[in-house]
Amino acid sequence: MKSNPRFLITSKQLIFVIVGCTLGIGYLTLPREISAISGHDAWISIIIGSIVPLLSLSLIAKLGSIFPSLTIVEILEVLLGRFTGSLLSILVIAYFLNAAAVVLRGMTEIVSTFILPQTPMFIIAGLFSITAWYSAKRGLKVLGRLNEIMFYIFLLALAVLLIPLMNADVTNMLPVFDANPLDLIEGAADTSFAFVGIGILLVVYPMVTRREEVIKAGQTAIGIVLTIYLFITVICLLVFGSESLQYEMWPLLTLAKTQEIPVLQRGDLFVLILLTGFGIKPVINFVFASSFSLVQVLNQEEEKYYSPLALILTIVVFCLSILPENILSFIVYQNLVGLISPVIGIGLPAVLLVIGWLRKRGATYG
Amino acid sequence: MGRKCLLLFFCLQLVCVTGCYDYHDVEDLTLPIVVSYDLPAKPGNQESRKMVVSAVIINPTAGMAQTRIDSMEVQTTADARNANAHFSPGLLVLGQIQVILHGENIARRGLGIDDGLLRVAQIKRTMYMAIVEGRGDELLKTKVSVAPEIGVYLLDLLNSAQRRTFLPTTTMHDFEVNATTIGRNPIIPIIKDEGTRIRIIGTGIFDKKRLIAKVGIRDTRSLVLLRGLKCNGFIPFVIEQDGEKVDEGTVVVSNTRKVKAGYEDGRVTFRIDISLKGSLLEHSSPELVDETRLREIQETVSQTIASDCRRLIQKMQEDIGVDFIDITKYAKAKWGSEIRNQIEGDDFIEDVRIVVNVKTSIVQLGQTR
Repeated sequence: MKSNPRFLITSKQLIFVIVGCTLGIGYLTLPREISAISGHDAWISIIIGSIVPLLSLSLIAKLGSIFPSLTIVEILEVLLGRFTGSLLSILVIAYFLNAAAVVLRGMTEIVSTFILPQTPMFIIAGLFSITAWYSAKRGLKVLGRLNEIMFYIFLLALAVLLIPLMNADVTNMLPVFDANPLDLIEGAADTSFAFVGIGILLVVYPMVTRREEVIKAGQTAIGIVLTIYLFITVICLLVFGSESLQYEMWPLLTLAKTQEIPVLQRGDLFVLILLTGFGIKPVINFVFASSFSLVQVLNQEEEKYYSPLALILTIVVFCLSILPENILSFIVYQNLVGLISPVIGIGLPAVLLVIGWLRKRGATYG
Repeated sequence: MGRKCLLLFFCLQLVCVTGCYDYHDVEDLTLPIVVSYDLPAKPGNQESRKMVVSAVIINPTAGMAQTRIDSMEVQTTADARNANAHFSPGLLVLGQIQVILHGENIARRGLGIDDGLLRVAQIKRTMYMAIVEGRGDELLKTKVSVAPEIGVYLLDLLNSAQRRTFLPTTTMHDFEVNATTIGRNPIIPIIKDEGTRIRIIGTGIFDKKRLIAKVGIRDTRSLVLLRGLKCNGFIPFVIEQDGEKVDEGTVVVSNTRKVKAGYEDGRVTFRIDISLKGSLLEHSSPELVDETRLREIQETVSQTIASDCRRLIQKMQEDIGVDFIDITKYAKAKWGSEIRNQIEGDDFIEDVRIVVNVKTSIVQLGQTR
């Protein structure tokens, strides 16, 4: 890959890109989903579940160390040939597009439910899509900065969630290690789907200025995401308890409604307004990843074709996002994309490493 | 050129904002602040499973002093929104509902009807709940003299109850968490119309979402102390020696509760320690308050509260049969899934041993001795 300053980020920005890709909408429902399996020990499942993205990180980083200046599209071409490589690249792009569509639809559902119930969903999704395209077309450097700024705003939203702790009951978390070990592992497997954003590293690895810091940056990002997931899950468990939590569609937002906040009144709206910008970041990041990859698959110049392709793919994401008929079919769609994520995050780099090793091409690539 | 086009595009978006689908003038809204649910007044209609929904509606342009009461007979709570649309000119917005009342009859049938309030994201979870002795729609018609308007009066009466004395305050969130958690049961204050004012007269005890019993105001004090609801309240005392009254007065105390669950003699045993800490407000004896008198006051208060609490516990175990003092959670926290089946059984709370200890510390005497 040729170095283009528009597509270069520092390792610090990489942290925020990974965090921004991972924290999509999953954290809004994670406490309910994991506690449905692991009960009040959900937080243990979340810690165990973070092993999966660490594995994914080490596999992608290993692949990156062998092919330091190649993106996933180029690696696939080198190892599998032009035709097969392009075909698999298109599947990876399709995954990114679907992941973006899931987040876009999720945010649309939330805004529609909590803020704009009478506005047609395609209008909300459309406005989000315009924002996503406008940001993504600027390139990765701008995305790196955007992800960082949005992360700090997100922290402010998390701080507001400390207020409902006035209703916390510590007995909701006890006794520790009460759940069946198999349930803990099942909960951990579910948690690992909430770390899907790590897959973006397949595209951005060669765009990091100091690649020797990628693993450290990745670990930091996973650590940040894990801390946020734990924070959210523990607060939800303390306030609702694992049994009551099952009745809440969006526990994190309902949590903000459990305590009256003077002046603001509806805390959920305040939190949601802060989260809205943060929530569509994965859409922006995945639109970038898919557009950039498509330019490479088509073997075209980034400067000329990246922006128009970003627009086309944003429209594709928009169309995919409005396909599910209702929230229940959306949840099925979300779970389906979640199931594919380990294939992309772990399966693909693992298979490519094995192929690379079999062909004994070693460190001479790139 | 590109930048100009972009600027034009964003300006056009701003123009659209004023015509947003969800935009409405505030003065055109129907804003209920208190909602009440009752069974139909005519006994024959009660069999039809219908209910009466009544609401205190504010008019934003006229101010809080001008409210009206809308009442309608409907099939379900959310059906009231449909019925309201037939006669109310403004768009119904439910985000300002502050108080939810249930008539006693409908509460005995069960509060599963509240699903319509929980499902709509625009409705608060911090609404205060109360059970009305009698009918809620009748209570809303009370011409209160202690406040300009019934809606705000009810809100103030209920939301600060726990800060005023030993009374419970229950929000929709509290109710739902207690009603949907194994081993826990909600409580809701009971209010009654007294002509020109409304009084909190006790507490309704729920088995999950169904009202099963009521306790009076004295038992309510024991209930909130046993349940560990943090209050700040007044306790009168009378000190007697050889059958004669030697002193009487009042202390103001705040309370905390500690519960320990364990097995004693093969039986699940809960040890509840209630701690009261506060000040002496008054005493009638001309003698100065010395160490001995202070100890006597503390012991008298402790004994009175302990005896009241034991009586309520007996009532809970022998008559009511559900844990309304919220102690089962300590057994769950200690033994987890081992005890889950036992807790889910009907007679868990009846079979356990509950020991209550009360300790009172009067730390301030005020400005006189």
